[in-house]
Amino acid sequence: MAEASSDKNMIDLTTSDNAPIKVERKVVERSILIKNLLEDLAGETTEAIPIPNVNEAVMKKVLEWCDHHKDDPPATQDDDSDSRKKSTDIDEWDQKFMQVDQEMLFEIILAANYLDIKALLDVGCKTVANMIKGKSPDEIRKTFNIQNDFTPEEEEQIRRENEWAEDR
Amino acid sequence: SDMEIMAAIGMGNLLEDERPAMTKSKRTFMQKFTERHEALKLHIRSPKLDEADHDEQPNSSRTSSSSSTHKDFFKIAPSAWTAKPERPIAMRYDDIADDTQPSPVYVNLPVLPSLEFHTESQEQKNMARVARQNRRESSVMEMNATHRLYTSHSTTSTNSSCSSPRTATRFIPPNPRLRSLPSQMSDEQMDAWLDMPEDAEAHRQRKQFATSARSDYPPTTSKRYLQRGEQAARALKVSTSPVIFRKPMFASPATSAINISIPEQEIPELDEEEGLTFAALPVEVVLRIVRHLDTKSTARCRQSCRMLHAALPAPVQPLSASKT
Repeated sequence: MAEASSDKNMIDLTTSDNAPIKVERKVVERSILIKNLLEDLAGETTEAIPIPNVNEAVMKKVLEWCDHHKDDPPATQDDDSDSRKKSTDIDEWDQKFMQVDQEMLFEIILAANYLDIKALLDVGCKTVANMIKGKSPDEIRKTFNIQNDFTPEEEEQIRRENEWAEDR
Repeated sequence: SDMEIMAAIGMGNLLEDERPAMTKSKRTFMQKFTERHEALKLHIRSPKLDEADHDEQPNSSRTSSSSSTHKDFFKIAPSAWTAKPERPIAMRYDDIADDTQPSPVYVNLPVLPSLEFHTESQEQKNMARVARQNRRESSVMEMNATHRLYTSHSTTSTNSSCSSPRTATRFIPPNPRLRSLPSQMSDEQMDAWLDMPEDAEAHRQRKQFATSARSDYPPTTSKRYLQRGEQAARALKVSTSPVIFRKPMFASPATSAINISIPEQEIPELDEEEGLTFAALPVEVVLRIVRHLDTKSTARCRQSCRMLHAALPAPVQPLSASKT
């Protein structure tokens, strides 16, 4: 704790599994949640910031992304526009970064959502969207291990309603 | 007696035949109700009066009890009661059931010789005590009678079947559901209705019916409140937006010992074997993913399971697709 207070550029975090992580302030400030917290406290605390919903493995992955993008310009209003959202282009580094198992991918998405890291959340969502694109309902089920809980009648009715979306 | 004389003369039948056929005037419900009420009052009062008579016997020890009577009076009798005129008489109603003599007869209390030995004040005290007792009893009877009147007219009462032996022996309407109002009843029916006590079985059934009806109806305000609380808690569980948690962090920045804590937020429950799946993601995240999809992919995604079908809005069918 004393070390953390001596170096104001370093922030202590504690993950959900009580793992202490020391991280550069600039890196961790990619998270709007933590950035706002630090601003509100204005250096009045020496305690580690608890992150109760993110475990150590996921947090390290998130901080890795944050470290890589620490110098990126902050997100603007245009970034949230529909045209940008529709695009599923992902940076090469990000593509590699997201080459993880599905569980970790969803964990990163949830952590990004919780920590309010919009750019990382976008990358995660785009990755999942890319996994869905061009697939039939049955393929989507297989990809994401989704159980088909429709009755045959319901399935037939939904299929007829969405006939226009089928490949011809 | 007159009857014996008439029988001996043999005029009885003759007189009976010559008597003009008088149509029995039909009394109103309220008249009858009042009469019954008075009769009931008398019925309760008479034993008390006997007791009062006994009290009036010369007894020197009784004089000391006047203070306690006063206490009772101030405890129980409300001030409004004193406005009623005091009536040192008792009613005797000999034939309660007989319609031919409906009116109560007011009879002066028999003046006992022993009363002469009493002082005037003691006499007044005793009379006041009797009157108070009578009023107390009559008010109770009044309440009971009114209660019976209202409860008997309630729909639940009419629907409930009366099964007490007393009710069965007296008056059983042909169809309890179509039981007429007192104003539409015949004299006999009215008498029977007035005599009919509050049926314990019917009361119980009505209570049960009311309880079951309450549970069938939409939830009460308190229930709705609880349900809403549960819904809110569920919504908070699903939501993972950090925006919710910013406010508590601003709460106490100036305190010396700041307790930093990001409120704990429930992550969707995971199946131990399967781990986190696409279907287990919060709806807001799924919607964010779907925003990156084209309409066809969104439509196919909706077809994969019920949850996604419900969560995702139906994409607008493109014009090109609708033409073909």
